[in-house]
Amino acid sequence: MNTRTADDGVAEVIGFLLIIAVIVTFAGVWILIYLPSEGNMVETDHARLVTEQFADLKYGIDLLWITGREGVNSSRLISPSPVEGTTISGLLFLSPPVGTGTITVGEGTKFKINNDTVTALKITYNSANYYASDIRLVYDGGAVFRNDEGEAQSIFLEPSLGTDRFVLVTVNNDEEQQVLGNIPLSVTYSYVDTIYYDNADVTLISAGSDNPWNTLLPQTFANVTVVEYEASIGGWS
Amino acid sequence: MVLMKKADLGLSEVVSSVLVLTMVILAITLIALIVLPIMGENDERVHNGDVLIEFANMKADVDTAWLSNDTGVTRQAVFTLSPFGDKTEITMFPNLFGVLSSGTVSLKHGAGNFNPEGVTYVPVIITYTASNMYADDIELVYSGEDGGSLSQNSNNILPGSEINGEGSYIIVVKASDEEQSLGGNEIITLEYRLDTIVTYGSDHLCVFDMVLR
Repeated sequence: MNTRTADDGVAEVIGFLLIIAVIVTFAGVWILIYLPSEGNMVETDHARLVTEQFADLKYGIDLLWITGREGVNSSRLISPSPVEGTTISGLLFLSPPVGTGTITVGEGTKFKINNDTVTALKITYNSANYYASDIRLVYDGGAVFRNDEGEAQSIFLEPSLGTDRFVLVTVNNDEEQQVLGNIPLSVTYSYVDTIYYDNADVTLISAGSDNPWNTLLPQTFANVTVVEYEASIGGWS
Repeated sequence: MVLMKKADLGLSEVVSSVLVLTMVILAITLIALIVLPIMGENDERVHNGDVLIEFANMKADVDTAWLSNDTGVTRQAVFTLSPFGDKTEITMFPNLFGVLSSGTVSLKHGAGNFNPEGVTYVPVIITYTASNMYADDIELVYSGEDGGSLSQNSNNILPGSEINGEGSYIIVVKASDEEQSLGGNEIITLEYRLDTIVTYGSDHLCVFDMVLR
């Protein structure tokens, strides 16, 4: 006959351990699955927002030369990071990190038009995401290129290029400006001058093999319009 | 001496019920004191960023209207006054108190006036003022005086348009147009139409007809 009696404290200890186990499991799932999943969603949404802002920027830059507003400056907002616009709701983990981004304005691809050399206006966004794949957006001379992490750069928005006419957006300052940030920044641009070429051969100068312009040029156009811009990035002042 | 006292069979259920009730009360307290404020602050910070983007889009569209001299065409800009004005997201913990946050959009006249051809025009100032429960309040100001500049809490974000630093495009409305102010937690629209562009010294007055609905 078994005369051993149960220890009254065992049930409470087991219950306590089970409750701790449930809490630890919940926290583990939260940290390992929920936060990365939501972080990925937030950064992917932000990539979509920046892509739309680059499309809007291209439209704004084009608008100045299309309407002939020489000497007029205009500006557009670019959000380099989801920090200000979309927050991961970490609840008790108050501030889980989200990505930042870098915006650069300067000189892009060099072109030879007949015997002249011109340099495309280049505005670049590079993301530094924690969860989602990084993206790179490049406005270069009127075209917008995009590449996701590990993929080749491709044309996202075509330049103003037809069968007999080509418009190239250029810049004439060799000063590169770069801002790493997580607050919305302004890109300010002004339309300075225009040069027209008739029956012009347009070729690339020392462009890398991965430059998407290689798929569009060289070509000969009946009319080439080179529009010169100045551009700069601004923070909050 | 052996203690012969027996355990009360009903005690376990009573203790369990008390413990369960304690946990429920603790959970409700945690949600009310920690989860809801954090969710509320998140929602309001996100909304602050969203309204900034809505204002930046409005500035870009107003710029487009006068840059392309697009007179007579009515356009709209949408502003969301609170995080719950345009809620399309299902959240894990519904923020029951967040609906109390609100915002106000005002259409005011700026300082100074212009009198070309016998008509008085005044610069337009469009502001958004947040009344948040958890996050910091923001004030966004679109100023027609500075060629359509945009600032947040007095920090200049988007500069206005100039002509080689020699003149500005000033966004104006008729002085006889009413000032307006609409508040709440819904969505409102700004309807605007470019009437004409008038040269005024080295400046250009972009005359708009604007109304909040």
